[in-house]
Amino acid sequence: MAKKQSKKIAWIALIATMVGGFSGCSPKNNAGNYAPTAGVYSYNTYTSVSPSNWNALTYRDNNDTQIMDYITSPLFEYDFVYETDDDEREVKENEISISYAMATKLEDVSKLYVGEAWGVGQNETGRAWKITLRDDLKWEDGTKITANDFVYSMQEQLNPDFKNFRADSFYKGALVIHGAKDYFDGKEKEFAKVGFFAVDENAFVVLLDQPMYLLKDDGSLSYKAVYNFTSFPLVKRDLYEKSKIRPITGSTLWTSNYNSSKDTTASYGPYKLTYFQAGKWYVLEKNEQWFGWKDERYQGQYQTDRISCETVAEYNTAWMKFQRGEIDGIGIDVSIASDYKGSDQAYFTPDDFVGSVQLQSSKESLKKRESAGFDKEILSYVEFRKALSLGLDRVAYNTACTTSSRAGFGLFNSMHYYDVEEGKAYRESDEGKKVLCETYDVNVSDYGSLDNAVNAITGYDLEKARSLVNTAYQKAKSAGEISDTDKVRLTYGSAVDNEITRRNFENLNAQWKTLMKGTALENRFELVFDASFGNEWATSFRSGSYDVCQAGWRGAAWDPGYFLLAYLDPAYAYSSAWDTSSHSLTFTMTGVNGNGDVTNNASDYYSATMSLMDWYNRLNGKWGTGNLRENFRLPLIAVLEKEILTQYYTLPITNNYAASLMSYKMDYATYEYNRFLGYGGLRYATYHFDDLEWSNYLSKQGGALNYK
Amino acid sequence: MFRYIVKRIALAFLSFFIIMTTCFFLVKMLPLVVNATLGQDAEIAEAQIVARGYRDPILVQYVAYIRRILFEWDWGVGVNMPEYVGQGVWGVFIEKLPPTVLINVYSTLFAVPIGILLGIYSALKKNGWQDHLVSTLVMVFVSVPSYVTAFLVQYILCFKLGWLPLTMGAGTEYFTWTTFRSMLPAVFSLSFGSIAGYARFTRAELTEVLTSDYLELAKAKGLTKSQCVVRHALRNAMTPIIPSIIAEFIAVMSGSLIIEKIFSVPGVGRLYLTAITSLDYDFFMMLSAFYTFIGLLAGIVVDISYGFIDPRIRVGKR
Amino acid sequence: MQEIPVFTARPIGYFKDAWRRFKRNKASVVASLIIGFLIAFSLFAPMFSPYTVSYQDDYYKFRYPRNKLFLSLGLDFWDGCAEKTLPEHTFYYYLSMGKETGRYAIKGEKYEKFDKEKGSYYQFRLDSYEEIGCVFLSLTNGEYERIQRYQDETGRQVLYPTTSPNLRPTIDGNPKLTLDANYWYQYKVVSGRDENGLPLKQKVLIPVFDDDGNFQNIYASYSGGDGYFSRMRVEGETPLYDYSIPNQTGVEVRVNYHEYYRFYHSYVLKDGIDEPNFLFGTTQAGKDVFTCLGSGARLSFFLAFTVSFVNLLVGGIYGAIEGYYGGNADLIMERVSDILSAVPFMIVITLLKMHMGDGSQLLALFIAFFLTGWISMAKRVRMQFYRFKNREYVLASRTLGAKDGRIMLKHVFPNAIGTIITGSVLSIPATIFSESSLSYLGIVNLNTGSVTSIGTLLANAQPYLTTYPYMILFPALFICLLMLSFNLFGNGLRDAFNPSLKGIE
Repeated sequence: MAKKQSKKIAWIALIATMVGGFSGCSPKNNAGNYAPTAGVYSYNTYTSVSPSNWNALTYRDNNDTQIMDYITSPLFEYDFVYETDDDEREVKENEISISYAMATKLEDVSKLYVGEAWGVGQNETGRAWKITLRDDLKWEDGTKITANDFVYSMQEQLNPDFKNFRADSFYKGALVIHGAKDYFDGKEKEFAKVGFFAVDENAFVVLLDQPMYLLKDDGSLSYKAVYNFTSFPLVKRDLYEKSKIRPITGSTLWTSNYNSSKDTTASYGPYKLTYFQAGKWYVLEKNEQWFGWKDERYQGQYQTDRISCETVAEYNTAWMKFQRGEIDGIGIDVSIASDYKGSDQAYFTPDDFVGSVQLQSSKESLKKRESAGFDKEILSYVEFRKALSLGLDRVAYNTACTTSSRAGFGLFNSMHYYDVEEGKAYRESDEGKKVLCETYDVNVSDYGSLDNAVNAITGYDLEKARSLVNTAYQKAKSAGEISDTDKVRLTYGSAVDNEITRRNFENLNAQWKTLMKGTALENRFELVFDASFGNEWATSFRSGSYDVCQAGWRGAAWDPGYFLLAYLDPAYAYSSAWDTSSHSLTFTMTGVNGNGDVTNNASDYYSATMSLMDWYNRLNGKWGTGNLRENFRLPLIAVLEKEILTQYYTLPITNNYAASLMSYKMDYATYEYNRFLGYGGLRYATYHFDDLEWSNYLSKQGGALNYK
Repeated sequence: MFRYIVKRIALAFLSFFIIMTTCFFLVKMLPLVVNATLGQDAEIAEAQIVARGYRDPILVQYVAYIRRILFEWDWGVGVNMPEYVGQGVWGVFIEKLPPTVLINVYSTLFAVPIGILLGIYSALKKNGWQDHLVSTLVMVFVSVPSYVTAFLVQYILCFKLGWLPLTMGAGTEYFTWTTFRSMLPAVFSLSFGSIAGYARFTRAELTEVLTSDYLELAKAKGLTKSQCVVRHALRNAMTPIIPSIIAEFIAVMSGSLIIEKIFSVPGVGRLYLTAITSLDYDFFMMLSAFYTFIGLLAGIVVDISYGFIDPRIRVGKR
Repeated sequence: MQEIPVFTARPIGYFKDAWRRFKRNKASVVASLIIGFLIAFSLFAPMFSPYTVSYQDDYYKFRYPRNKLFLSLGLDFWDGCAEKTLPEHTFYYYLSMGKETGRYAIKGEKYEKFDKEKGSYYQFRLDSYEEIGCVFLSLTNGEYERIQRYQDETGRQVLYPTTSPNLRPTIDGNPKLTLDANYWYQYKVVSGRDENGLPLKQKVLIPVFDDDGNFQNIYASYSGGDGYFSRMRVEGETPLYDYSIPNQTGVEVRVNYHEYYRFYHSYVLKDGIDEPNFLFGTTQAGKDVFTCLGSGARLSFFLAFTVSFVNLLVGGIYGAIEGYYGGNADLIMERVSDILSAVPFMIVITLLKMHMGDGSQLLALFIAFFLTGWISMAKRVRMQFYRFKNREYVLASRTLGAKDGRIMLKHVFPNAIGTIITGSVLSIPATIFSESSLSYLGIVNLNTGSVTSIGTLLANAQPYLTTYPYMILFPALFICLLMLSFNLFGNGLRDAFNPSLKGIE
């Protein structure tokens, strides 16, 4: 019968195709059918979420910056410093030098713009900076890049119709361009009034409302030039104009799809985008028009010819690809940690993230959410909160709930520097150490030296914690807030309900229940899990909807003074009901005169009492006639940190560390983490195999490599 | 018959409309979130939301939404989706559709012949050891969750033996040989369940037909076994298969989410999962509309095909 | 004269007839026995295990399954060990554990040495229950004394000499090393470049042996202030060693974790757990798979049975009304159920979950299954009612004045019962399957610490499929058996209730 025959034929045809498919089996790494070529060095990587919008004006998160980093070039840059000059040279640990990249000159021209128009005073410095560019800068299609391109880009960045995400980096925080906010809000219609304009074909001026000091005393570049002035956006005018999209019906927002696909992307960095498939794969190749290929400073760097990145959502799949040599680096997940963390190819990266337990600060909201027979107000007593802190075994928590992180005790960890140039970490300073001892009630005299005392800190002292619970209980009882039969029930809120959040919750619950044994609240304490807050967990906590959450902050690793914003500013702080504008603090410094200027006279001192917010603003604004030097800022930062920690609204518990494996194919320049350059990235990476050699090596090894 | 078809289609549109409206309202009633991170301006995020019209009353948003779709065929723009911010929903959707459809088509092409043949074989050798073997295999495939089989396929075929690539290749040329080869692991994983289903179904239908009266008559008339089977039994047994193939195809479309995640197939399933977790209104509505649409379509097609294929079940007659 | 036939066989009811047919089908009987076994497992297994679902241990995560019976037989199977091939420095790390405490991480002290270009590799069976070795703990003084009393009472050594803090490996790049209490021996740090001239990413610690090839310890010398009064000390202890270092909590000590576990559970918690022994291994959170599987099965069964029952009830009534009354009522009700059935399941569960929040996921799941499940039951019942409502006995009954309800229940319904029950039973494994898929995709999470489900077990085990396959083996086996037996059972029921399928048993 025809039907059966046709079915038979179909089946045979299918088998034939299957058999044909099994032939030819070397592992491929194709995007657009790339075959391994001799002399070409490819860097193959993966991402779990594909980038979608690497538009410098409005990118969303760090995932989008993947591509951005390759197609842009900075004005100023860090370089490694080597021990010797020969080929076998090793990178000097923790040292860098700072050079001009796209720029050739940086000058302080504040005195040229004195006057009302720009709001610059007669003797002010650091208010206006003139940046001169190289004259050989080009886009990937050969068009010249001029200062006007920078001005155009800034104008588009602040365009009021677009409400671009990154606009606030130019009027908030440390970098405040004159008139930027007004232009963004639509109050100022003329861009010429904004402090960002070209003075030449190859030079532009940035006028700031807050002074910045970017040069060292001898006129050479300070690291601050790189830190503050790398983020000027640059977009290609004709391409950007084409990418603008009118508002859709029912909306007034203009959008742009610049830098979201191959055709809408323009590069001015070492690599250009040659292939992009959304959600799947992207490829970058050398941008011949980049000025750096002819520049001596980059000799021997950027050995990578081609970058290929595939989107792989499933870790297990990525792990198999890594073992087959298709991917060149991968993070060590808990599922493979025990076998691979001892591997030769493993390396560990410290992180500036500090995770903490946050306790509700608003007594009102606590009272409002109490129910009959249950008390929450006891949380408003600092003794109780301190007890919760001392009753938390942080080491046990980290063993149970993290893969490779360590116990954290302070708001800052070892990655926060108060003097980045000299490499002085805040936590290593005496002031930083003393704060920890005082917060956790460790007497230096018991241990002999400050270092011994710090090493002995565990943050876990059940005896003391239990007596504090009893103290708090007595206070609450005499205030009539808790009776002899009331139980204490606190709500632990979370964004999602999954295995990880449940595990963290269980750990805290069990530890605190153990704490209550032997106190008046024995068997009368419980923690309850609530994940109904979803993405609003942070705002809900700040507005008092629940009692305990886990959150942390990351960023501002080189400006611990600025970082305190996260704990003091009610817009950001989790302890939003703690009024830092009325909490006053007396602070004394020696060697400094009444204005806050450094005198080097030991008998001079400065002492004042103000609110915490005022201290913070002093720390981050002008002090005296200029900026206070770092080693004098240090005591203030320490005092503020101690004040925050001893409120016990924030209980630090974790310092993050990440573990990764490196492929045999390549190596970074160094594995000593450099606070400026990390491990050197692709710029300094070297390869042991080119693509063809690697492909041959893999077939010789029989497909899968052993990384143990 | 014709009137019936028209009635069914009209009803389907009505259902579609009601479901979509309910979805829209339910989704918009969920609270909108603005999360600020250190250094970022919550004001800008809020300004963007207002400018997009998300703070308007729901009815106003609804009317604008319908107008946009009917007059401009503009399904909106991604807002919260991590990978498609600022991109037109319809464009992304059309781009993602081919891989999903292709994988499902290939897996159906692969599963149907094998499943049916297995079913026929075991029905013919009823109660013999072959029948039991096939039945057990079928049971096992139906019982094992798809992600387990997918992982086994990936681990054995792609990792250990290296016959096939671990993930689907890049490229929008879906009909090249390399892309086809990279789709094979996903196709295999998807088809195991289908093969089992078809085999079981065929076996049941065929055995029922084989024991009916007219077959006894055919045998009595002197036809050989194979002639019986081929000329009479198969044709009757096959009639319910086609609707079930269509139904299975639709079920597999919505069920391939897991496979797409494991093999990095840039298809519609992953899009849906992300839209749900990131609560992107436009994507969620579009994809819900899509899945509802194919569900309704499947229903109509199955009903109509029943009417065409089996004269005993001419619809309209009760 | 006519012969009056005498019936020699007694008339039997419909159900008895079906039961007889069912018994004859061997596959169905076996299937029902298996189902019975699985249900019994889910009910009783948690009772026989000393662990509860909320039990978890931070150190005993990813432990292999261990069966005492197999262990005593000396087999290399189900013994809590895994075959490992590791480089030399890791091998010495594990070997040293046995040399110090007598608790060997290398099973039977058996190993084989291979030489490869990268160096020497050793192959051995690593006992996952001993591989943790020693850990540092912070104890209060009270707890410290308690352990010592335990040691003296039972003769089991828990505390081992602590190591001098300045001799401990302090490699900043590797946070785990500084907390690793297993480096009780002298070592040298190998760094710089390896034999190929490539920079070593991680500094590696190689033991320094004495002339006899033994490990040399780096214990802290006796200082007089360690508060150690127990008589259990390590062998050959001259000079004496310190067993603790004071810190904020009280003291920091070094314990062998296996012994500490025994001490903690049998002496402090007194919860019936003695030695760590997990029949099916532990999960990535340190929970016992055996207990979790039993408890998860309970929840899954409960969910599936309830859903099935409710769907049966609601769908049955709805379909009965539709089918019996026909006409306009049928038309309207059909339209409503048509519209409802077109809603994709994913949409229902997603919207429900978003609106009901993460707190009541089980309820949301139940409602989602219910909303999408009763329709097929209703359709089936409706079909049956259509077939039987015009039979003569129904007409007769109506003529005799029986009310509608009575007719539906007593006359029409029993005909439909076969299909209804079969459909009901076959929907149970489908529900469990769907629940496991949803848990896997992360759309629902039923794991709340004291309650878990099979789907979450499978979902959590899936990332470790290639590294720890035992974690997925047992739940997958369970679900396979379940599906298989339910399918066979359902088939058997269908055949039993439907005698017209003659010859097909």
